[in-house]
Amino acid sequence: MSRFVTWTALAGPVWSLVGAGVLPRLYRARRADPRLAGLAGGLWGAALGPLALGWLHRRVPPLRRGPHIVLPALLVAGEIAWLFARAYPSNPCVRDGFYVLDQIQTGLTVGLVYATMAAGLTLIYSVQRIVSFTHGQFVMFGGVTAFLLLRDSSLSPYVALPVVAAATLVLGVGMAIVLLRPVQRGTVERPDEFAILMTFGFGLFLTYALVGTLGAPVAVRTPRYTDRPLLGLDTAVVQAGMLRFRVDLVIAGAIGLLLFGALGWGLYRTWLGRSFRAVSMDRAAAAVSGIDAGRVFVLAFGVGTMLAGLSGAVLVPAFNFQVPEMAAQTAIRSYVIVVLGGLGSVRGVLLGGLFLGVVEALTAGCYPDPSKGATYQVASGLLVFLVVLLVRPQGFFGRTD
Amino acid sequence: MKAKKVVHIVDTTDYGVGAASAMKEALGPAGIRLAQVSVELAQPDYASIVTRLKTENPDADVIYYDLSETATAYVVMQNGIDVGLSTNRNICVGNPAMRDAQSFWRAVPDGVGCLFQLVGLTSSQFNEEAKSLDQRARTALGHEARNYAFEAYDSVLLVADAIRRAGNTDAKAIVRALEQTSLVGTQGRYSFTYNSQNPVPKDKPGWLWHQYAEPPLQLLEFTKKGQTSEEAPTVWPPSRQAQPGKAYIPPTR
Repeated sequence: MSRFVTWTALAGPVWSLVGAGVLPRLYRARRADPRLAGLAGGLWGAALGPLALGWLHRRVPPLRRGPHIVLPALLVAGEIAWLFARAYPSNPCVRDGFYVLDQIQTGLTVGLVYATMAAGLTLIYSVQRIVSFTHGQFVMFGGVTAFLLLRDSSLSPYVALPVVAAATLVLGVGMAIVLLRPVQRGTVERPDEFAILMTFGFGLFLTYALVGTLGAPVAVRTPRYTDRPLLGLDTAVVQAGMLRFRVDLVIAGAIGLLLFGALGWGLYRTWLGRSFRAVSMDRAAAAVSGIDAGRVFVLAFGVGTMLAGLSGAVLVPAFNFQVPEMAAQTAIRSYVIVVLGGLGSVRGVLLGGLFLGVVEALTAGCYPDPSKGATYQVASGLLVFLVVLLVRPQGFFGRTD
Repeated sequence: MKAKKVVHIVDTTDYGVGAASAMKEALGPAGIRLAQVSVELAQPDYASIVTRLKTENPDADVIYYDLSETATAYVVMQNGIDVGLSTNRNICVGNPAMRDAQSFWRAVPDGVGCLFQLVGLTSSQFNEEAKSLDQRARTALGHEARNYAFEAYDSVLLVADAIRRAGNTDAKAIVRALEQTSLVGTQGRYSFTYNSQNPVPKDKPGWLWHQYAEPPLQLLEFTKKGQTSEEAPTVWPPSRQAQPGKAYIPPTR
């Protein structure tokens, strides 16, 4: 405790607030570039307190990302880790490096899966500037469709993927044409609110339609990838040294990565992808260039929906889908990931998903009271989300207007 | 089981809080060490926390997945098996809903060796009364009689029998008649050992007063993948074991 008090006196959150508040004013007063001053002041204040802030005050150096953002951020992380290690020497995260590595690999694998769930949402937002409140339901729809396909058959989970992709593409295109037509044509005064209400309402319909189809709220899971193997991958768990890899989860993550690769390739190498990007940058200019923005709008919603459904079908052999709770859980994490990564950024979604997965894994694995670690797992992701938004409101890769 | 250390996984609901507290009260006086953790329901993955439990409790004898929601219980169980928390060196105990074996095997394909509590009897243990009730339920409802139906049926039967023997509906007379009960219901022979004629001895717990001391409560074990609950052998109590003395069979994981 005394070490924490010393750290708070010499550095820590109080000096962080002082640095974040004072440094931008100082830079403006000295007619220096103040853009990174708030963040740099906050981080240097947290890392070295008055020592660093005094030096910055005297020298007012030009601020660059490497020495003034990354370096103090690493210092703060190191100080927090040191304080944690001194306060909780018996914590497994302090005692066992392999344990930490194991938690990180779990977080990365689960994070990759989270990112896959969120990919469709960011595509829809970037092209249409609307937030789909049906996203979680489409993920669930994909999972349930795969479940119904595989439940009474001996098909491989891989076979379900193209079927689910086609079904969700048709569903998404149909929804965009029928329900979102006023947004697409610009005939509604408040398109954002209209889209929220429409997608929210359709999401509720889809939820109860799925519950009705299954007969009751229920957990669904198809046979695992390793139960019906491809390329001889039939072992559910692989032990590599001290690390244990869950093969089904790794396969789901790998398919997720492939989807990301296909999405990136499609956005940059195909006519359709280029038109998505053009409309996302400037709808009017895209229309002038001969792109049918209305058609792109419909197709983007369809492809985004397809990605959501596909992610559900990818995940249902690796996770239990709890219908209907799955929709809300998926949606909350997807919104967090999309905002963390930067609205509309595909690489941001990937990084946001991995980041969220690791934060949640380390919270459950390292929180001082083991009986409460899992309870704070979800809250930790949301806390980090709030902090990132405060420090960098546009997210990791978002654009600022 | 002669367990020395139990890992008890509960959820953050009121059920979980109560279950955690009851487990502490039960195991503490017996000198059994207890590691408890509470988890949020309906998350897609619990690998991080079960990895931690495995690291911090390598000497646990029993891993009890005591969650109020079956779907979550199954996710945690499969995660626990995947990361090596539940192994062939300890005993995994799950949710009573495991009686629906088809759902269990779909969600926990590696759950061989897991135990579950059954309040009631399997059909192979049915007596004539139970068989009759089950047949009547199938005719009237189109499905087998649920396990709680037997308990409810017997409760009504007991009260009706007591009223008949008391000869009236006076409460005290009914209680006196109940104390003398010896009736075969669908779940076995009912009697209330400790009553006003035979008080609970000092070395026995007080709650035995007016209680049916041998309820049809048993622990079953899935010993083979895909096994139905009817096929699962009884591990406890010994009186219901098909092969007395051969109780728990460790799984191969």
